[in-house]
Amino acid sequence: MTRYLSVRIAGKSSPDAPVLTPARLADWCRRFTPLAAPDAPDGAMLDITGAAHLFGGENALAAEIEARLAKLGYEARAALADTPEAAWALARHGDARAIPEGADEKALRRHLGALPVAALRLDAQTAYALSQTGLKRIDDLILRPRAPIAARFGAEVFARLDGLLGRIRSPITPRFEAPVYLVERRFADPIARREDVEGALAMLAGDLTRLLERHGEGARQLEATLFRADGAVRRIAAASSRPLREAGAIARLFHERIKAAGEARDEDPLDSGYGFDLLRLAALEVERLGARQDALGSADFAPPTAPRSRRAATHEPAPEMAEDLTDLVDRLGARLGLRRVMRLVPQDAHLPEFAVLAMPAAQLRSGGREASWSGEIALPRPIRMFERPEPVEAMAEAPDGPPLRFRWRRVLHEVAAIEGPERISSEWWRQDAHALTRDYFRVEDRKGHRFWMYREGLYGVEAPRPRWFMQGLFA
Amino acid sequence: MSQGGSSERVGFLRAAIARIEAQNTAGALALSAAQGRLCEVTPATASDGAAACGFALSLAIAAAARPGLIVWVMEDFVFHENGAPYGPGLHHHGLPMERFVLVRTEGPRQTLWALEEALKSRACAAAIGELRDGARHFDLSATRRLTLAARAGRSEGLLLHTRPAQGLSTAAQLRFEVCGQPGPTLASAGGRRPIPTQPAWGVRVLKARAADGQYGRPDAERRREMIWGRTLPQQKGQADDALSLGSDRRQKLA
Repeated sequence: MTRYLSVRIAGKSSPDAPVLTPARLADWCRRFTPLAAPDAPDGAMLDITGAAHLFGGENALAAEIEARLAKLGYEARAALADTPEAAWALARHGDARAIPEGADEKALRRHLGALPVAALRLDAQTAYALSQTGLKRIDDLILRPRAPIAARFGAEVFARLDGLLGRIRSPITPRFEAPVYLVERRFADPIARREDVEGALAMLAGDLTRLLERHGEGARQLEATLFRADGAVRRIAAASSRPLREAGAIARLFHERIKAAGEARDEDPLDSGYGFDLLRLAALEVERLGARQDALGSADFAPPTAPRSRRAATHEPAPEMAEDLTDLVDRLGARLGLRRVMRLVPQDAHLPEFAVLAMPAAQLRSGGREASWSGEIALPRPIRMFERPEPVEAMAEAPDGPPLRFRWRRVLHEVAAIEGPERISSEWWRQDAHALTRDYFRVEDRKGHRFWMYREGLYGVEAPRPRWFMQGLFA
Repeated sequence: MSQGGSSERVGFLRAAIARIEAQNTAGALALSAAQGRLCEVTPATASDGAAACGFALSLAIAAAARPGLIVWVMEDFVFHENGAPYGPGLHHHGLPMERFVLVRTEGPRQTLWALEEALKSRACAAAIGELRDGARHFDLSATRRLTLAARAGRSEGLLLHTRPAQGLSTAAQLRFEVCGQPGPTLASAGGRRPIPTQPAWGVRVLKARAADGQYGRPDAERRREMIWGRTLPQQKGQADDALSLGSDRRQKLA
């Protein structure tokens, strides 16, 4: 049996109350249950199944929500029922706080029958039209034959009524999925200092680690939620490229995230204001992670020389190094952004600029299906390439011949050695209409600088006057 | 420092170079790389950036004889302005691409931070940090931190300057100044211009700090010519395909 709680903000009781949109209200309500949905225009809907006892029962929970919102400067009303519709109706139009759990239809009618039809959450026009015809209360609708009313006012009226009476189930759409694992810590006095917050997160990381260990899993996606005393909610996400189950590593990830936030804004990175009274750490995505084998058996008991030398020969990272490695990638990614820590993966493409793809390093798995670089070396390619080829003024003996000298970035280069052309055109199946054939030249100037440049367009066939571009630099 | 000790050290460096020339192995330049160190590579002129970059990559490849990642940290400006690292080219240069990680940062502070993290992580064989205005950010305390990080992680730190840097005061153990150098070429048919083959650089060792008594005072005036050859399995048969110092090799190839 599910249980729903509807919160409705009736109005402000204090002029300087913070702005509370339904989405922010829903975020704020996540301190009571992970499943909270914004309920426009003035409230939020909470699925509190199995959560009420944590706050001393349903009545106490509703009272606490009302009291906390009152402290923020809002007049609020909370009501509970077995269906979202009933809770909604009760919060807005009823006097009772709750309809008892498992109430049958008769009990529901007793509680809701006297409410006006507006409690069905119909638009104002329909509700007015209904009341004009004398159907003022919900009871009036229940007893009438349905067909004529549905024909005149729409089928929605009875869909709502059925929802209200629990004849059909209508789920709510929580703003965020419920996390897989969740640990939290509440503070009687809000904490504001960054060190305290990070310390508390480290403790939570310890709790989470124990939870993960018991289930033999490691976290890939983590989220810390900081509930500020004045109702604002701050969420900090962190991701890991391997299933993570060390409290220290988790804490370090969040340390970097918080630091990165501070760098971006150059001020208090947490915007802690009045301080946080609830900190929550959740694992949003987990992966199986076998029990960890500790020092026993790895370094102390295995013969140290044989496996190590084999490893050195194949450049295989040692397992402890593999861990350092993913830790490094995660830490850099947490601070700089995952997309800024990249690995280059070869692609099967003709045009040089498409021959390589930068993938976030955290996404690549060892033994993944990506192409590898192990193939034999083809033709020389530059070590650096310009994102956009830069125009070059080149002078050649013949319009389709190699250049004698060229001017690039306002410097004149005399060609001393040259190899080419290497003709590259884009794949015929690509719908790239204006892609011209390129003739690439490997050029060395008299000073010993090496360039990769191309002439775009076949002379006289594709272009009357082919242009030259600098695409890359050799070592 | 006595006269004898100094000349002894010069002698050591000469011996080391002689060893490099004799053995022709890519790893030989890594004099004390096993303990972790910080090297600086600066281009001699503004247009020698690619040469300096190639030389720094070669040092990284030499350090990659040890297991671990090769990290290249560069800020966005450098990425857009000086050219992005190009995978096939790096592969062709000899970099083990499956161990290569490229890190882009928003500015010098992040670059220094990322470089330090990489160096001390023990997961890196080499980390290259590329900065414009390097002289401004690679100051004594920043480079001292990096040196300690490199020691802690036993990794090779490489500071790559995008522009010639004068008046550097850093804690790096080695400083190289690199310029482009006409490389060995192959004659081409029909009296046309020759074909370029391997990269070559002119390298001056501006600084080799005797931190642990391994280096002597370098001959800063001497410009050594280096030819870089691929050291890939299928290429191993060719004797000249290795890091080499000295000009005699060039004549052999040409």
